[in-house]
Amino acid sequence: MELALQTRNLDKFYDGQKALNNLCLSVPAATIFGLIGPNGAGKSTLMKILAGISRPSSGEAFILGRSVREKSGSIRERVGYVPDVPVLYPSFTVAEMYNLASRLYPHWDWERCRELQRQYDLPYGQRIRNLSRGQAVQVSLVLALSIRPRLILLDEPTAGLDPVVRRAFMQSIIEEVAERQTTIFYSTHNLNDLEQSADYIASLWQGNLLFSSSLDQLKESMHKFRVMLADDMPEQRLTDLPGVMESQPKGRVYTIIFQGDLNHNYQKVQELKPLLLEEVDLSLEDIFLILMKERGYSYEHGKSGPGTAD
Amino acid sequence: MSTANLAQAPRIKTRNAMAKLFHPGLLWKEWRQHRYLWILFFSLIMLQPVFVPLFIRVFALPNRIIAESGLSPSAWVLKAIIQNGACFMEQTAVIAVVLLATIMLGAERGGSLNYLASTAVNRRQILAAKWLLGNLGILVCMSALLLYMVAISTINSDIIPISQLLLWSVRTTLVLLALFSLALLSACIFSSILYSAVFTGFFLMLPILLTSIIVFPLTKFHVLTAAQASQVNQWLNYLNVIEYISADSVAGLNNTSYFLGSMLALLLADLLFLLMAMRLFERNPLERSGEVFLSGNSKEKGRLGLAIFLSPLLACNMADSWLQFLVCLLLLFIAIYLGMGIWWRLSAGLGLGKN
Repeated sequence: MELALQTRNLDKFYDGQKALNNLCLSVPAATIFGLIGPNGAGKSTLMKILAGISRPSSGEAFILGRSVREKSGSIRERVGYVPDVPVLYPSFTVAEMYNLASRLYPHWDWERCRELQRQYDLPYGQRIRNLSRGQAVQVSLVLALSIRPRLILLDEPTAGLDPVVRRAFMQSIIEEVAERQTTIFYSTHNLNDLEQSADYIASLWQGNLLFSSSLDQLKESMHKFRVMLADDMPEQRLTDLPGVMESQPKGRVYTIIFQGDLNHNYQKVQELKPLLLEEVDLSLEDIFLILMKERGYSYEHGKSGPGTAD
Repeated sequence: MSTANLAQAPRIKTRNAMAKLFHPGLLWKEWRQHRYLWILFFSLIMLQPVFVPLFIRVFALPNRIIAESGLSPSAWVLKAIIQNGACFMEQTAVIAVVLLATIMLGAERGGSLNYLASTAVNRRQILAAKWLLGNLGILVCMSALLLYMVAISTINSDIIPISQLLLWSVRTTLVLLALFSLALLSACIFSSILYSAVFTGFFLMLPILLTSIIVFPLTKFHVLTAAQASQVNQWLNYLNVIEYISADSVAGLNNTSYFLGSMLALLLADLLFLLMAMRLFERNPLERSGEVFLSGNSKEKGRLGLAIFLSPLLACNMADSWLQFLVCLLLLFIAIYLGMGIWWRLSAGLGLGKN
């Protein structure tokens, strides 16, 4: 499998504090790879290292087969980067930003730029400082897509955008992968967006990799059932079943999340002779919340984490 | 390969390396971003030679000194600039150049540097573009000023020989170029424009500080004679970039070997500061302010430096013998070093400081 991005034992320290810890991650080419994790997990740190803004403390990171430690700028010729808050050059107009990028990137595609410009209807002659956040993100995306990228790094770019702009943004990303086989490495808190678009998901927690797998595999690894027990059946019989990760009672109806094989879990619950047993769709958000809760990061328990890296 | 081709090979290699270092796109960006600053700089250096005489003429201001000299206001100002040294125009240019260099890099710390670092250019190219535009800007502005001066001198029956105007222009330009590179180097270390400008000033003062620290105790305790001390002072003064536009150095314009030597030194300083700046900028973690990369703890280095500089000066004033000097030096060093640490802790505890 061709890899667009890879990290090997990647570490990053800030003032003695570890923001990334021995991170080993592989991102297959021509896929949308979602990176999730709570605030301070190290997502932005990783993005900045990959984008060439930060240097790793130790370990290695490769983008399109080349080490990020390379001093040459050519390593980023086909890599687009859209940060959470695109700063760009406030005194430049949108047209001048395109002009600048066309001079910095050897594979700049004016046709694609004009097409995206028309699509987003951005104010061509307006200064960057006068754009709304949504427009600035769109300019940043136009810049990233017009370099004929093979890899795009998105660092929570849709945070704070209205649903219309966010939908248009996601549409452009999905089209990019479908039509041009570009790899998207996408860090976000918006799990709904990822669920609809991502092929792979990885999660960071306190600088460590919690898991990395395809979205399908991840969703197959957990199952959610709605169960109604008979009055004489004690609740504990259900919650004590092996593989139960979470149980939420609502009267005699329980919403149970299991880890493991679907049929096996289904059979185990059926042995309790429930009055109602049905599988419910398990969202990525459910999976994320359970995994975070397991590590003590939840609304009930209060969050625990470094809270510095992102 | 023929001999001619072999001879050309290093030249082609150098040309390629230069072409790789100076990115046209970045040069365009620098000009587009900072063109108003350069217009302001040009206006500032023209203030004394052009605008002051113009002001006197337009408003017909009476000036006894100019009237007694029998010269026109333009010619009188020109003579004052060339013959006095460290004039208002030069002082303004020095301050403006330092601010220009620090702004050119410091203004990017707001976040646009992150954008630039994530594009298909490398950090050497980013810094080289700033340096080249700065150097070209200074050269263009100073050439325009030289042309104006030549014109004024010619109109006023060659009050200053063209050769002297040329030498003055070369010297002042090279001082400004070296200063620009030095300020750019400071801006690579500090994220704040103010800190960068202050550090440039500190670096310029360093030879004088060193002179005080080394020469003062050695002279006081008769290790050096007054003549030897003066010689050491003179040598250390050569390290002071500003010294080359002082009143003393005006005489140096007529001393060919001194002039050539000092100009070569300034040119080398310009290049050396650029190389150092590029080296630092490559290692600079942009995600934090530049102070971090120096040591991880710039405060620690700051108090160590202050203790090293202040303790010999104070000890020398307090002591009457070598032994007393050494004891005072040790005690003062410890007192300053620990005192600053305690002050920081106290101010942090009282909420006076940032930390």
